[in-house]
Amino acid sequence: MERVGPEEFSRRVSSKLEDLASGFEVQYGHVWARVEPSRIVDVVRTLKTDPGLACTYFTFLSGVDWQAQGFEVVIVLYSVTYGNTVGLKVPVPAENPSMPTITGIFRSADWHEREASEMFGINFEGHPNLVKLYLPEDFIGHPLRKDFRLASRVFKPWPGAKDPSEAAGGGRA
Amino acid sequence: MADALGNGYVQLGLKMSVLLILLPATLVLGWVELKIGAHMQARLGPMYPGGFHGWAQTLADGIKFVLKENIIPRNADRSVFALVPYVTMLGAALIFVVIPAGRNLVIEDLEVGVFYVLAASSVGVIGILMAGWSSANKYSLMGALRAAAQLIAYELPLVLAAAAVAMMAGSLSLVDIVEAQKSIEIAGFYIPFLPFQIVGFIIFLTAATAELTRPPFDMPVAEAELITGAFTEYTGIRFAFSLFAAEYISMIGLAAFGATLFLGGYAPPHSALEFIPGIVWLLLKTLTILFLLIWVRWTYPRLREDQLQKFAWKFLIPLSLVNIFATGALKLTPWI
Amino acid sequence: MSTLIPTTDRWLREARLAGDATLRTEEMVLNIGPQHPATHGVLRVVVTLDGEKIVEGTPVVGYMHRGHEKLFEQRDFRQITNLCSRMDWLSGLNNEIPASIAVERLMELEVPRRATYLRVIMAEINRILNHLMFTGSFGLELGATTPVMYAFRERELLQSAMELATGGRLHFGFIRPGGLKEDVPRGFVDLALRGIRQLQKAIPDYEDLLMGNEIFKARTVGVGVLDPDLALEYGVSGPILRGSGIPYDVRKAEPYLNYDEFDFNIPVGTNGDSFDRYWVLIQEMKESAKIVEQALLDLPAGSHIGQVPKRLTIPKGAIWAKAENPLGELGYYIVSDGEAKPYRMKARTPSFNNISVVPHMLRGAYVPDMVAILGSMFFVVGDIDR
Repeated sequence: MERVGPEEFSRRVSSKLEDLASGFEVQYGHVWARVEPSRIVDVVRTLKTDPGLACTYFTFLSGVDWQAQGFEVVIVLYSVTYGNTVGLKVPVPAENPSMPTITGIFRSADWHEREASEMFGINFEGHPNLVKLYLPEDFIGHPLRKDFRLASRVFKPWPGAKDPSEAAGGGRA
Repeated sequence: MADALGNGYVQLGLKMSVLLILLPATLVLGWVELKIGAHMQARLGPMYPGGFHGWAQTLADGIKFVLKENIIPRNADRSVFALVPYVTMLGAALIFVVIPAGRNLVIEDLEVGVFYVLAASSVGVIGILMAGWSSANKYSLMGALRAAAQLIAYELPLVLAAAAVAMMAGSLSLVDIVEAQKSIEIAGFYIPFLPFQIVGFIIFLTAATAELTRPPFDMPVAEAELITGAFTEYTGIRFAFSLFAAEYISMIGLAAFGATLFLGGYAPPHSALEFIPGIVWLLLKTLTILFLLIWVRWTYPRLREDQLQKFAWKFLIPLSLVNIFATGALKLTPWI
Repeated sequence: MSTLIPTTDRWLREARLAGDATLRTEEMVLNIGPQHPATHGVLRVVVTLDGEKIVEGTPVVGYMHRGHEKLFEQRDFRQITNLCSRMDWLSGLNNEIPASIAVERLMELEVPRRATYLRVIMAEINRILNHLMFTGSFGLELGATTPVMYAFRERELLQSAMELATGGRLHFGFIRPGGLKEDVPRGFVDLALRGIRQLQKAIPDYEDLLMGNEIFKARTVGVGVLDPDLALEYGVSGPILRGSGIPYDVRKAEPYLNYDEFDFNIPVGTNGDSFDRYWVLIQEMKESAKIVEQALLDLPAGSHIGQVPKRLTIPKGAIWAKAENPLGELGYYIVSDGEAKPYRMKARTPSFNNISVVPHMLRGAYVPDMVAILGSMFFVVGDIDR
């Protein structure tokens, strides 16, 4: 195993992905980049197959709901060979959120995409079996979206004086 | 003593008592197994029921089983389902008919005693098959099929091991077999068949464990895979009878059979100890074999069904055939 | 159910009607779980069987989904560490660590050395507790009832040490951003050392009891082989990945706390089968015991918690922080919008990825092998479902 520092690895990533991704930065020792949905498959393939990057370890795929600004799909890969993490942020529009599946490159993305799909309502085009993973078949709504209120709060407001979600000042539960 | 035994009514009473003893015996054996297993595992086992070392634990379990609801699944074949406990219990209890506890203390001294025991002991498997088929449950079906496959694989070495003993004794009657062992006498010590049939004894123990579906050959009931296999759907007293009681009764039966074949049955170890009744010796020898069975159970993990079949057909059966030849050769040597 | 198991008559009649004189065989779909002893928890595996051979096996998850990620968004960071310990209930303390590390990195909090040492000690004790549980239960699944009893005997002292310090036996809730809830009481060091010594004495017994057993070998060697490339593709981590021969351990790859100051090895298997995974588990206990011993003997004095503001307000930003959970790589991706609670907190749990690879391992195995495979995949259902 040859260890490479995150700065050096970031340079490698940005030189390999120059025309596919943007916004390269190193945060807390991890390399991050922004990728457009249309480019994601190429980016992930390059990261996995390029011998200088060798991000063969699939860590996770998930989403963030930025409300009006749409969604952000986060993919984190790891290179066991070089000991470095690459995170990809994929902006997805709020209306009809959709991006191509990466199950063709990482079969393990199967469950992660199913989870992101049921939790955020993001469509992964070309996914072989995009059914609900955790939730029952007839569940309505996407629980991790910000407009989905915690079910227990819908029925009954927090009984204590200090609901952390209210106390924080935002009150955006 | 001998006169009293000759009395027909006393004999009948004694014969009946053997059958009446069986159920309490399962409770005792169940408790013994709990305690031995516990101590092997650095535990205490039951300590409270009854006061002294939890002696009433299995009794309490038995009462609990009686009080529990008796469920028959809706899709089950009701009559077959309900018949299973009788079949498994019957097969197990029939063994005792020919086990001699003394020269005359035997229910029926059959001429074909050895093969009668082997036939009776496999009746229980029919019960398991019935349970598996009638329960309308896939786990039960798989367990039953495993039990059937296991029976076919293990009946043969069991028969061959017993056959070698029958060759030694020149008879299939269990009383004759014990008497034959008594006839080998060195300085008053009766030498059982065990030293001559040590290979046969090991084959017998292995095959008996498989026949009893006890670990490491408990695939038909494997609780981690098949959830007690054929008896998944059984509850309450039916469960207790078809699984526990049948298992413990046939365990005692096969152990007594093994003690008769290899350890000299009711014969005392020395002629000076003839004054102690034969039943005590039989009991002691049976308990020795039972302890071996229990010891193995708490020690080993479970084999896989195909590995067991391989073991039976490729190792155990050839070995028992070799044992038969060796026994034949032994019989032909002039100094025996 | 009557349609599932055709009666002999109908079966024969159908066979005759089809113009087929011989009996046909068909595949059977069997639901293993959600209530099944081999899935300890509520995992469900739908297997298609050809006799006893598994044609296809698919895990079905979600029976214990508690919506942790939604709940994280309703709690402030001090509460979150307690919530985290409920995910993998066998290693509560290890779950709390990366969450608190993430907050400390975002807030640039200083953790006192004593707190770091104690975190390492407790995390490793928790790892040993978890590993003991799995070594025991793996034997149980293969039908050996004794190892689990021995494992629980050794667990007891270590468990008492943890209880003495935290008051909990399962959910410790002891880690706070910036340090620990409180200092450990007098007697903790001695008790923990005693537990470690007892364990070190007992481990050779475990090795003899199962790993030297022919039946155990027959059941595990070559069963459930996990190819290293497949393991990487699926993000499999922890003892399972190392059993397949890849020496990836977050404690070495990206040292957190002060793991880089201790002397320990990463045991690595060669064949990637159930036996190797079990072997790795046992070896890891030895290594963890080594770490705990070093840390206990070297425990510095000082404060148990650093300078932490009354209200934890996290600056805007995002962070991915991970740690080596007993079952594998556990990480949190936290997005903060500058308030007391996270805007989004994703938990990447090891068992989720580990179990998603199971269909590849089940194909062609026998039903008893399935138990050996699931037992050696060391999963906690709460960790899969969150």
